[in-house]
Amino acid sequence: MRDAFDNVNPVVAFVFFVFALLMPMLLLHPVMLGISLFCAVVWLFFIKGRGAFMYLVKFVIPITILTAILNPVFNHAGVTILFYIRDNPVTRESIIYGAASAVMLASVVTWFACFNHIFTSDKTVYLLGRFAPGLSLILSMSLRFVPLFTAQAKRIALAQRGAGMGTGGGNIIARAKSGLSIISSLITWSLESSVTTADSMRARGYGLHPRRSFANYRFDKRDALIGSALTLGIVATGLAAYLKLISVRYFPSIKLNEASPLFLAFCAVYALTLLIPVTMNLSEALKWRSLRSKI
Amino acid sequence: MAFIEIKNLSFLYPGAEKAALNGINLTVEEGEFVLIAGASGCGKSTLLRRLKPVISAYGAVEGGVFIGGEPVEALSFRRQSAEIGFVMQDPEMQIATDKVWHELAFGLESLGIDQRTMRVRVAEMASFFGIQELFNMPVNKLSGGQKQLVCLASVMVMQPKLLLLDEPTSQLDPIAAADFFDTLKRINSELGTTIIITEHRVESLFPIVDKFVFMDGGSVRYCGEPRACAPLLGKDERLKKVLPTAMTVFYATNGGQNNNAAPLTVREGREYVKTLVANSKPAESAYDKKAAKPRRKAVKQRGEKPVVSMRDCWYRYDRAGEDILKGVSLDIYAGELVCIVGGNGTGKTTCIMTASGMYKPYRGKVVLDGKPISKYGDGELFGKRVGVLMQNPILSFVKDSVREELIYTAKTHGVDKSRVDEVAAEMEIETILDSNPYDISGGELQRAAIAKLLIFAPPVIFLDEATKGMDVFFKSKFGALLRGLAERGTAIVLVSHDIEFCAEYADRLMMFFDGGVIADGLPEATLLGNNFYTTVAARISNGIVDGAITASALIDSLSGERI
Repeated sequence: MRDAFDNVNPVVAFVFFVFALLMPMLLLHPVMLGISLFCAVVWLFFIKGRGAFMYLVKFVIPITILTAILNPVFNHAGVTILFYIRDNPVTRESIIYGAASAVMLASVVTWFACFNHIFTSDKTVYLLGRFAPGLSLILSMSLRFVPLFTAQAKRIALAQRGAGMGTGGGNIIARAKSGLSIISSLITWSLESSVTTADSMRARGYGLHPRRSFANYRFDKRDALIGSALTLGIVATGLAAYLKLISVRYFPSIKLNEASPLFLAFCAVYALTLLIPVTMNLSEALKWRSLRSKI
Repeated sequence: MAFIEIKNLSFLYPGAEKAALNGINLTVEEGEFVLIAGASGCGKSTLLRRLKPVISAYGAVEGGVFIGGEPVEALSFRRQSAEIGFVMQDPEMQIATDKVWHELAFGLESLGIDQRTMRVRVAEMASFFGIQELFNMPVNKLSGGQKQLVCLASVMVMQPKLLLLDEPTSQLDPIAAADFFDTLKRINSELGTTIIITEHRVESLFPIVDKFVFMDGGSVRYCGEPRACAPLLGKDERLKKVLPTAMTVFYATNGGQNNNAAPLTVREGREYVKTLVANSKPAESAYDKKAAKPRRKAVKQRGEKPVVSMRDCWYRYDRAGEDILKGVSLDIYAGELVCIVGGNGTGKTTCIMTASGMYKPYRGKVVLDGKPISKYGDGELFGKRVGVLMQNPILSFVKDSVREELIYTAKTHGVDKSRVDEVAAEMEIETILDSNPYDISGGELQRAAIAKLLIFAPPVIFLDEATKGMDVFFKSKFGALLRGLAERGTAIVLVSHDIEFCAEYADRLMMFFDGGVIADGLPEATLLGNNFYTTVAARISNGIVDGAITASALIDSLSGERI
């Protein structure tokens, strides 16, 4: 299914992902980490459905557990010693810090999974095209060339096999020789064909200045709305950090900020910002349902 | 003054002794549709590229090209890019970017046009070409024909006044080519764009072009209306091969009358043949069976064992995918040239890949020389008993020259080096032995690739689309070489879209449809009943003269009638 966030202008989407990925690493506050992980996981379920479960079990949970275990084993800072392993103290602070960094890692990895799904090559090409048209074109050309190159490699290998000179028969040296000759012919082919590509690009005016990238995405009212909500969230986070509304210290002893009403309000803002994609998905689902019930 | 004037243009490539272009004089009016034909290497591509200086080769130039009165070199890069569009042969390599939308926008991006105009231009061209639904697709998911349409559209978005096309359909199958020509015709008639195209397939272009230019050895031999090219080309044994079937039949039978009223299309050809038959003799005698000449080799001699035999083979690429072969059974005998024809995606290529042991069928079996093909190891099969040539002959070459490639092949298979000269003589490629495979023409390359297989003299050879991109002159030579090879005992299986070629040279013709062989027999038997999927000669003669599937057979039986 198409995700509701897919249609958001790539610039806005990109800013969102930067925010979502950076905040857990910068804030390291247990509450913020929890919120971040929760929002990422919920969205992943919207994107991948049941596939999200497999992703979590196979990938996210193992690295989380590993980080949570490894930190107290190697990190002995902290004042509250719980017990000793081979004369090395295991402290309460390092256990909690390990758990926090595990959650941080888990949320970053989950956000990345969402990013990979939403941020297609087209969006990257568009985003780069805004700022560096040349670079954007190079990216697009590589995206074209890589599959072409692999397909050609397969074809050459098949053609060589048809003449009894493939990598499938003979002794190791013969096979290696055949493999090398395939690679060399692949290189010749790519050089020869790049001449054609260069001609075709030149024939269509490549090299004229200034180059302008075609925008495959528009910036509409909804993008403006999401953009302003996002800006609000970013500014609020900056303010909260600046005013020390959120602060955390793990070593030598754990110290958190007070749970003031302002702090709780900020938590809500942070959660709502990260929930933008989920909210969009929910409202879209509701709309469709009401549309269908009218029919 | 004419839109394009080429005045006394000569061109010499650096280091070459013979001029590629020799005092060319040509004028093209605005809005004209011009076809340039000629054998590979006659200079038509060189000429075409002179009209677009940014991509023309370096060398010694004399004379000049004028567009709208200005010398073409004086046009700025920007104006050249926008006003003169150029489409090349290979759709694959012309495409620079990964998505269709990006390719369409490429030229406009270069020109730096504003966003709104870009959007409109891209949209209108996508609609004009009917490729809206491809707009967001990655380019590598498109078929060859679709790719070439995208290339054409990506040029047309810049709204050129002049469109140059260099053998744009040589890599396409006939249906995709016809589609492409239709689009060109629409561009010419609906947008008024001047078009100059070089092509081998004159048959489908003759009825739609205004001017026909024939080049030979770097000079223009004919320039004028397609219909009237007779006095020059019709008489020359070599050059007349380029003519459409209807015209060929006309010149061979009209006795030199009405030379300027030659038929171009199948319809006109039928009318002409009808009047000819009606004028000469009572209608019954026209239905003589004698035109169905006996083939060179009687198919399936009794008691003979097939070299390769396929029984109920089923194949698909992956488990969840569709079946490509659906219970194919066929036999190949020693010394015959079997052609497999059929539309795109019907499984022809997969069929020969399975018959040759490259792919393994998931059901059914293939028997080679009385032993199941799966029992042979790769080493025993390829390079000994079977030779397979893929669609693109360049894939066969991993060395820098043809000779090196052949020597390398001989070495790999433990064959004496003297065999290299033998096969070179057999395939008539002695003159290109020291050339780089990338520097020789498609026809030569194909012969060199077959020579590579002949080094180890396999009893069966499988060829995929071997006549693709070959001009008519090369084609007849190629056909003769294949026949010679078959007569010396090699079984040849050729997959092709080129029905005319298959009708002319095959011992046996198979028609492929929906993953199976639906007709198998003498070319006459397979093609005569068909209305659409058959040769032009058969379509012209259908119901008027019996049994003629090639122009020469039709001419023979028509001249027989007139006595």
